[in-house]
Amino acid sequence: MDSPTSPRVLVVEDDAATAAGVVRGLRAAGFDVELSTSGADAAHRIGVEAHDVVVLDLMLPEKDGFEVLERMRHRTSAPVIVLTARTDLADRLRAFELGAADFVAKPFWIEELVARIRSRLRLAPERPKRIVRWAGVSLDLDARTVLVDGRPAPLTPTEFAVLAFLAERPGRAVSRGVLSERALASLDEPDARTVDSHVARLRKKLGEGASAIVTVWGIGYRFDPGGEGA
Amino acid sequence: MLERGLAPRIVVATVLCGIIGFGTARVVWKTVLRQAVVSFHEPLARYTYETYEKARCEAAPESWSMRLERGARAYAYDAATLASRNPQAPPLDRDAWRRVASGEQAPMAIVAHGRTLAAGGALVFRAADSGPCAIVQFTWPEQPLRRDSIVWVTLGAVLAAAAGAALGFFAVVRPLARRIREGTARLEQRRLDLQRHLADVAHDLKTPISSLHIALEQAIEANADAEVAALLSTALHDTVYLAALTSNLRLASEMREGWDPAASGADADLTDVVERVVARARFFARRKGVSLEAAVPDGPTRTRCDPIAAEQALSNVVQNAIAYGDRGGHVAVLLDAAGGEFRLSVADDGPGVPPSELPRLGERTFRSDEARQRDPRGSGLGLAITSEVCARCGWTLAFEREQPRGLRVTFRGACR
Repeated sequence: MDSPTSPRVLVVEDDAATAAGVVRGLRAAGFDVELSTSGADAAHRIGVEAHDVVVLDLMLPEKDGFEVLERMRHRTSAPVIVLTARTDLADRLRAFELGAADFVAKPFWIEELVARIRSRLRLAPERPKRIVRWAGVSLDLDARTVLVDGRPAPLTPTEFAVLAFLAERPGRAVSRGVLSERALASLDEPDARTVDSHVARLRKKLGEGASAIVTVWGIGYRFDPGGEGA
Repeated sequence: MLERGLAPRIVVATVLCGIIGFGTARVVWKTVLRQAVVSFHEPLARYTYETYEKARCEAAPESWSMRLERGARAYAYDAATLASRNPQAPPLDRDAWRRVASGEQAPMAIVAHGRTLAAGGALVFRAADSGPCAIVQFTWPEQPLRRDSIVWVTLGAVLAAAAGAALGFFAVVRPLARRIREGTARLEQRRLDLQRHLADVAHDLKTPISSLHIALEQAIEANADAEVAALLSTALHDTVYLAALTSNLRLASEMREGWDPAASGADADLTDVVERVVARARFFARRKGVSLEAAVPDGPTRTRCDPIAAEQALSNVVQNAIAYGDRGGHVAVLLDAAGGEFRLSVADDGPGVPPSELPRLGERTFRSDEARQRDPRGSGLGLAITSEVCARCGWTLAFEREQPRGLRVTFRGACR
């Protein structure tokens, strides 16, 4: 059952099999889903009913997706995720020009569509936190201090630079090369192995908080305070 | 132009034909002349000799000779010795000597002297069974050609060759070229139609593949039976392959139709391309139990290439790495840019490629039949398309072995 606060998603798709799959998949993900199977119907519904997100196929009978996009442009503020078998750059650009928020090429993973809808539903992009706390560690990026279990951690400037560089890009893998260049810039000859040794010392000093610095195979490291895997 | 370069060939061929024709004509002319000498001149010469000269020769064989105008001479030779009693007589023609010595009775014409058409020659006949006047030889010298004759003959030959060449060109080569052009245009049109049809089919396939993909994805979620789920997973991976195949077919047909990803007017931001490709491939990687990570620079990495083509080129390599990776394996996509150049590498710890096959991976063109086959490591159409996009966008594509196992594919090119 959808909760009363479930985000409302309008799916505009004429292919029955795809529509059924998308509706089912989005409902399973907790959305309140409505289906429209033609461009004319979608154009009519948009603006009359309130939706949080619109998932729009570009190839529609009667009115094609571009026309629907154009009509709804000034009638709703709901982000539109365009779904299409077309892969031309021109189509993609046209969709964006007409106000599409995102573009998903067919075939796609339902998980991918769900992830994109969720990312569109966020009220505002999160600003990078300047004070990051995890597993007993408190990192103040502005004051350039690190507390482990309430006590200042004895990080060297390089170790702090490595930690800060990673923490400013949470969830993003950073290569050893980039870390070496950007965080170890004060050293004479920075190299990838030096990065590893700095990270090893940094982890030791962070205690339990070391788990936030995840080794990424083939690349380098990622700051992941939530401990989520890839 | 189809006729280009043919004109000199036609002239050469005509001249060669002329030379062959000239040689043939010379042989024919000599044969006819020999026949004419034997049929007409020999009776005339014999009659003249027997009527007016025979008695004189027999009376004084050591001084007998006949002198005709333009250097023609006649001498008599002994049947036994085949030599003349007249010391001024030239020896009997060698060919005639051999034939008379072997007992030949028939008159013989020797037309072999000289190299020009005005050939000199000899007429030899038997006038008696024995004695010093038994064999009579008429000889006539080669007549030199007059200079104006040479000029006219040469000019005639050149004009004949030119006329032959022109006739060959206008009567044969031009119509042939037109037919070939028309045939080629028809084939080209057919090829374009086929390409367009292929592109349309590839496009139309996406909708059913899409619904199949969604259905399989949901069937796997709903199915508790591990065996069935495994079967469905295999089918789902096939739809991922099919989807990539249709995208590649479409891109291939567009490039064959002359579309150039480097001249599409749009620049690709590789940072964005990597993020898009990885965001999508992550779902496939998760299903396959392969870890997929990417690192990109903080800002955009612009390069001259159509973003959709760049996305497809990278996607093919990343999908291969995931598809052939082992559960628990890793795939890492790393983009960095320095000094006006970018380096984009896709490394994995999968089964890799035998060293002997590494160079072949880059060499394949998307036209090869072999490349169409789906063989291990996806060295089929996908990689061929990737190579083609790289070539058109001016990038290099390198394949290396990862130690201890795996493959590293590296794209390099210029930033904008």
